Amino acid sequence: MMTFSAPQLLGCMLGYLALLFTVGWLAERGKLPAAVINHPAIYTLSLGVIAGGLAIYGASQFAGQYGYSFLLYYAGIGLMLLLSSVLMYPVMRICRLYQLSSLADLLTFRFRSPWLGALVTLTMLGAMLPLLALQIQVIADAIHFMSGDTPDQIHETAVHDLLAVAFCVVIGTFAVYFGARRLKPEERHTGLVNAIAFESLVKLVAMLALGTYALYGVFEGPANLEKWLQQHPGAIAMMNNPLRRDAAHALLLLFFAGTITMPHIFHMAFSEGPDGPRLRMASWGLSVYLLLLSIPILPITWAAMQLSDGSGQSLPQVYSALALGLQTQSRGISVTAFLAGMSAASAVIIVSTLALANMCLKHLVLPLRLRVRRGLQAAPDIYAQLNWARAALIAAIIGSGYLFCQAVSKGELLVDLGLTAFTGTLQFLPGVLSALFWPRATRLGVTSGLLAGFAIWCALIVWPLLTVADAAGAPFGTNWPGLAEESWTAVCIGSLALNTALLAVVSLLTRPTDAELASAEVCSLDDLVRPIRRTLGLAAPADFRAALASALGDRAANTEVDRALKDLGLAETENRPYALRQLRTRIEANLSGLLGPAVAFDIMRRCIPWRLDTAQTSEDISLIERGLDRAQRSFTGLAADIDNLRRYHRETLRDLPIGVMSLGRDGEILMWNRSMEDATGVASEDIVGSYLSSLPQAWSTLLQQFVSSGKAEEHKLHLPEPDSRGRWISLHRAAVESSSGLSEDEVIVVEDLTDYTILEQELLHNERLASIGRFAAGVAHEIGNPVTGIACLAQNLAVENDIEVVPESAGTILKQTERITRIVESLVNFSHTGRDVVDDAVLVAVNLADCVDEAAHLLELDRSATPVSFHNHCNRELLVQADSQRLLQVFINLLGNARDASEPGASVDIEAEPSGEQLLISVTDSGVGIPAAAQSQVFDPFFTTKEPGQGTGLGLSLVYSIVESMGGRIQLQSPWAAGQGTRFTLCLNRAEYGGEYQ
Amino acid sequence: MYINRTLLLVLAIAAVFTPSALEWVTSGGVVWYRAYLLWLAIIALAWWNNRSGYDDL
Repeated sequence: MMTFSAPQLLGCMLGYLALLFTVGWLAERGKLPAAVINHPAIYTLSLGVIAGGLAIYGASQFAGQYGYSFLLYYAGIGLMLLLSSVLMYPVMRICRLYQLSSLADLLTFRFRSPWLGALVTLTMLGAMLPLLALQIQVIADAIHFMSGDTPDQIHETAVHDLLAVAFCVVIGTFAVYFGARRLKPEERHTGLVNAIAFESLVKLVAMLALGTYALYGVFEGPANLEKWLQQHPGAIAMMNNPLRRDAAHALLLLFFAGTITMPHIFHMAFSEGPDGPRLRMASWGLSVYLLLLSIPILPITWAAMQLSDGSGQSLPQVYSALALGLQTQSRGISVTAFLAGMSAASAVIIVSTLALANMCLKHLVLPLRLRVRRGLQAAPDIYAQLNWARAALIAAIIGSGYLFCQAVSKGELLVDLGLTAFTGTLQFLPGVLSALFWPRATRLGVTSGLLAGFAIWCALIVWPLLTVADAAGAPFGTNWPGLAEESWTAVCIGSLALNTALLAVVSLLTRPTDAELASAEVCSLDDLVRPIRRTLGLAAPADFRAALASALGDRAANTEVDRALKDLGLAETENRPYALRQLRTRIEANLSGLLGPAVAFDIMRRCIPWRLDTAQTSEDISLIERGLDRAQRSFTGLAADIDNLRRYHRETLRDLPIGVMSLGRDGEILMWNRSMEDATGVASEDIVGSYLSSLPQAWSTLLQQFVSSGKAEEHKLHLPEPDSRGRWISLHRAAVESSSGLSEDEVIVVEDLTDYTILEQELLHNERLASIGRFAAGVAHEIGNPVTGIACLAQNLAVENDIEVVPESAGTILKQTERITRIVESLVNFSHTGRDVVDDAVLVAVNLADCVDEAAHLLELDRSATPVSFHNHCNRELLVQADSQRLLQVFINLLGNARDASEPGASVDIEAEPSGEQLLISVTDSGVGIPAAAQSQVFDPFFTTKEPGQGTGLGLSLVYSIVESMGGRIQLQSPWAAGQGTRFTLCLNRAEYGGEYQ
Repeated sequence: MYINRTLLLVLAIAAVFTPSALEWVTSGGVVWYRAYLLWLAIIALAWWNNRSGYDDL
């Protein structure tokens, strides 16, 4: 057979790794076109890391022994991709949202237990060592066979092992350079992703080249292959030699679970910034990739069989691809096969050590350090320290993998090593599924299930692997003592069953903590779970900086708060509770990406705790809405109908021509519709999640007073506005209890009465002008008499010679002038009344009897009206709290109505009687009364029983609104006595002398 | 948890036809690539099932 010297192999290895470095470096520095670097196909290709040494070399051995069953490896992965919307998508969503990069992160985040994170990390390390050993063995064995060693000599030439060590060192450096230098947790490792994609491309091209060579170089075409197969019925029989059915199912489950539980696959699939288009393409693109990768396996295996028949020399079946070139003396094909194995193995080593190093750092090193030092502030630069720690861990893990490889290096155990690793990581499947789909699962349940499954795995699979003297032979340990194919299946399924059963039973026997339940809500896609809105004790981002500084140090605290503010697009002045909650969640997510969810959770719990007052918590409507909006595309049938109905109702509420807002129990604004936006000028997105105090001053004061007053409604509140006469609103309140009974929010309806009030004022003004018109004749008469008297006296004075008569005449003139002045003053006084009749005015003490007299006097000026006599029985000492102008308007209207209803010569009586702190003032007439049917409407605007043209129907409506605005009320009794007459009773607040008096 | 209808249909069909499909694959004799034809069909289904969605990622 053809051989290669050590320097040739070293040159080949270093040349390939230099190319890998170059690709990674060019991608990281942006030297490659962005369209290439960010293309979804790169993500799909990077997921090709899934096909390690086992898929490239081990598949031939598997196919040689179990025929088509070797496709189970690809079928398991394909099934997971087919179900990506069920399993991969939720994991991806949570990982992206909370910056989780490993299975340990996910389980720690879900079960809020640093101990579980540490356990998962340790068990994952244990489970992955066989896989790392497998990859290292692939490289080491390939080097041996390429250099001409026979299977018997494979462990005797140390120089070739040194080449494998050198290879490990170089790819360890690669992992440190491209994977460990992460400044922002949410950033993708562009260099790493592109380098791994390049490796996937190299192994695909190499495998296709090997397959083509096997088909056309060895068999000289498909027709000859068919002929060869017909001549070798053993080869066809080999293909139809399937695994036992239970073993096949177990393997399918193993590879299916491995797609989500293997750390290197998890890292590339979920941690390297996947998005919608990338996942869409990967869901079918990766299957295409694996299909192309697996097609050459059978031709290569058969070609190796044919070549070994001819030459008599043979390599183990597992290295069929290498045998192809070595036995045909083709250097190109040998190097191609070597490259295929090297690219597959190096990709797995790089990504899995990186993922494991991150897990160790976040779940072992940092929590331990935090526990010892109670904080990270001692570090001058935690970012640099993290990078160094990660680099050291990568080196340690690769070293461990090499040592494990040396410990189990007893022959061609590739398939066994691979299956051991896959069976180990299978134990995480129940934990992952419960994290996603079973909110009732607890940390104790997951821990006990994992420990039990892992103990069985260690005892019955790993221990025989380490202790058996000679395991050379068939895959899955058929030569291991007591662990044949059926036994392996029993161990695999049995450990998983015990794991699952313990998880379920222990979870049901223990109670999940509040933190676990909160995380379960985030992780679960179950619509029945209600997100809880919790409150924070901090009021501004500056408080976050101060709080975090105690754990992270000033510099890191400022960096993290700045980063979170930038991510969310929030300002430093932000003080909305909703925004601050988002800020807290974002900082925790960023810290989780940097330090792991356990440490991040611990830091946030200590530095920025939620308020303990659980009574203040309520459902997070915004979160529910966002969740439903996000899931909209998924709804079908009844769920879609319900969602459409929800949207319809939400739009109806949003577009209502009346202002609607809702408040949580803690006073946080949860809803703000368009009418509220129009009325206040504050957009919904700016105010939802804030307290009322964030509103403009006038609105804030008014609404806060209403909320704290406990009243069900308030009418015609005046809201001053700088550039106008202001706004009049009515407020109504209703309590809304959530379906879960968790909270009782409040809905406040804001009715804008500005237009109505302005119209009312204008009508009132017109009504007053009309009254003045009606008074005009009386005024003319009243003024005419004294003027005539003054004129007579003036004529007399002109000819009067008796000086003693002059003072008497002057006195009479002055008296008449005073009378005129009083009449004019009354009229002017009345004409000023009510211009802004319902404006807020200061209520002062007003003499009731004087006010009634003035009203009666004014009414007497109306000569066209029914002549009646007004009898004012009010005690002249009584004072009411009122605005004198408005009170005069009230009496004008009431007495005017009484007069109009009375017969000529009848009397209208005005009486007042104290009643506690209030004064009951009655206006009684002896008219026809008001029909019972009309009594409920007399205070409505524009309602009148008078003839057309006699009244506007606004008088009593105005009386009602004025009395209400003065804090009083008005009642009507009709008939009053002997089947006739009407009595209006006003109830106003009493006043005392000593205050401001009018 | 949401499972779309296409997926349920695919899984149901797979459960019913798996034995027949495996029989068809293993009875191919020298036509060894039948398994890959089946695989191509599954890829087409996966593409059809995931041609939209994940836009919120």
